[in-house]
Amino acid sequence: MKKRRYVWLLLCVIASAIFVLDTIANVDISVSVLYVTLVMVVQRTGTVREILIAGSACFLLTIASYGLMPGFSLEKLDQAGLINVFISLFAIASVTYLSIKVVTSETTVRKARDQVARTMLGVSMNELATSVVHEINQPLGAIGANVAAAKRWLDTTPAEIIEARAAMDAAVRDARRAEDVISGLRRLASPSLSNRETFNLTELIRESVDIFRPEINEYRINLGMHFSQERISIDGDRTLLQQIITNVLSNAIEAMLDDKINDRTLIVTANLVAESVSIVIRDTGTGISQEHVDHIFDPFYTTKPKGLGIGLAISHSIAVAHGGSMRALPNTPHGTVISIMLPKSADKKY
Amino acid sequence: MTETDPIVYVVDDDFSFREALDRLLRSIGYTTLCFASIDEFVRHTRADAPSCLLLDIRMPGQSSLDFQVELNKKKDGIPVIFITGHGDVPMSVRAIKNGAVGFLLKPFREQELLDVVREGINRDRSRRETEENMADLLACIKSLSQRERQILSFVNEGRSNKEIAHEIGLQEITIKVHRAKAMKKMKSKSVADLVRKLQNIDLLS
Repeated sequence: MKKRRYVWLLLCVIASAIFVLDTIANVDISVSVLYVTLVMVVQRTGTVREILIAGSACFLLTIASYGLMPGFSLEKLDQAGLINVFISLFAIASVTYLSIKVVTSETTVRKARDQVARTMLGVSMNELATSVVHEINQPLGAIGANVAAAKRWLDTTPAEIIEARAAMDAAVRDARRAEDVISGLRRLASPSLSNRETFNLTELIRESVDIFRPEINEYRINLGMHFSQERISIDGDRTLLQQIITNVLSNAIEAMLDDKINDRTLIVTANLVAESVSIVIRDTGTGISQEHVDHIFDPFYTTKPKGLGIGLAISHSIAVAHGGSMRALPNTPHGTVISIMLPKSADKKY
Repeated sequence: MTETDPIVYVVDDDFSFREALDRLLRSIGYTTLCFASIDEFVRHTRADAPSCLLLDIRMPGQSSLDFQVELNKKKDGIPVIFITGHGDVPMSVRAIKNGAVGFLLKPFREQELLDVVREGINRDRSRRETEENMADLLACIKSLSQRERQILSFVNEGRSNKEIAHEIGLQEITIKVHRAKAMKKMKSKSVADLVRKLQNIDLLS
């Protein structure tokens, strides 16, 4: 602030010097054109208002020194001098106008840039942090409640062993869920296929579906499972591939919980087609609209009020890491079809 | 389960969290009923018992805060406790302004749950008591005849039998009889008791 005041003081000194010179110098010498430098200095740091003030001041000073010039009289106007003054005034006005233009466009650019920076930071970091915290707190809260309940059941006389055990089992399951969130985030960038093995895919699918038995029963979901053969061999990371399947199943079930949906059907199929294995999971849920379907494999893209939006992104990167792919299509009359293609096992035995 | 056993309703869309809360509340000794959506809860016919509602502040479908406003509009006085996460502060402020009993910030301590649920149940108990008393009182008032109402409103203002008799143009003895009958109908043994009961009520309306 102090520095700015010195600048203005300096400008006033220069303006006065120009004014004195302009007044005493010969009419033919147009010292007043030098005023434009003042306006240009103001433009570097000043606001639109300040530029206007400086420009107007220079304008008035030019006219004033012309009037105060020795030998000036209205009756006997010197033509060359008059032209000089007009040139000066025109130059000052032009520079002032251009300076204002520069400052306003700079402000616009700065504002736009700030906005971009803010949204980038705001969206990705804040929302990511909030949803990670939420996803961790959810199982953490459940673990706390389950363990507290187990303790109470054990403290009753006689101890309610069965209830306590159920609570502990649930706590273990919740802990695994929290672990999944963390490892999911870690895996998002690069799924490492450290544990490659050859295994039976149909078994894996059965296991994955069994995880959701409580929900399937509770919400009366019709379940259909069809496999082209009892043994479909796959080379890959069993845990990672199970993650894809459980993720898609959990999305499918969640999409069917809407009260408006009364025909809840989940169909899981696996077929050996030429050189690849196709897993198709079909639900009759709320479905995905066209605008979302192009983005559902993008990381941090979610249509749910809760959730990180990384489930399908991770699934997709796992499928790709296995040399496969994933696609989403609408089901008829409503719902979603997710198809996962994976290369079949290279083991000639199967 | 007797009629007055308190019930805790839990509405949360997260299966495992809902189940955990249910387990803990049952181990404490509460009767619980869990719902995965607001809609399911609304469709359920609630028992006539002191209760409170543990409601997740973020629910798919109808917003929890809108639902709270709806409950207020319907004069459904069930105390609401919101289950909240970090970053829900602005929503929480709105909920409290709309009369929520409290919050359960995830992850929560057992004691916090105990305290907030006890507070909710107590509040519902006293609300039910007030409502019951009010219903009783209104029934008493309804049983009064037009004349009895008129006389009691004078009594309520502290007027003597003589004054009332003069005001209405009846014999003092008639007023006495009416008054005794009215006091009996109001289940009031003294004028002081009657005045207390009629504190917020206009007899003649």
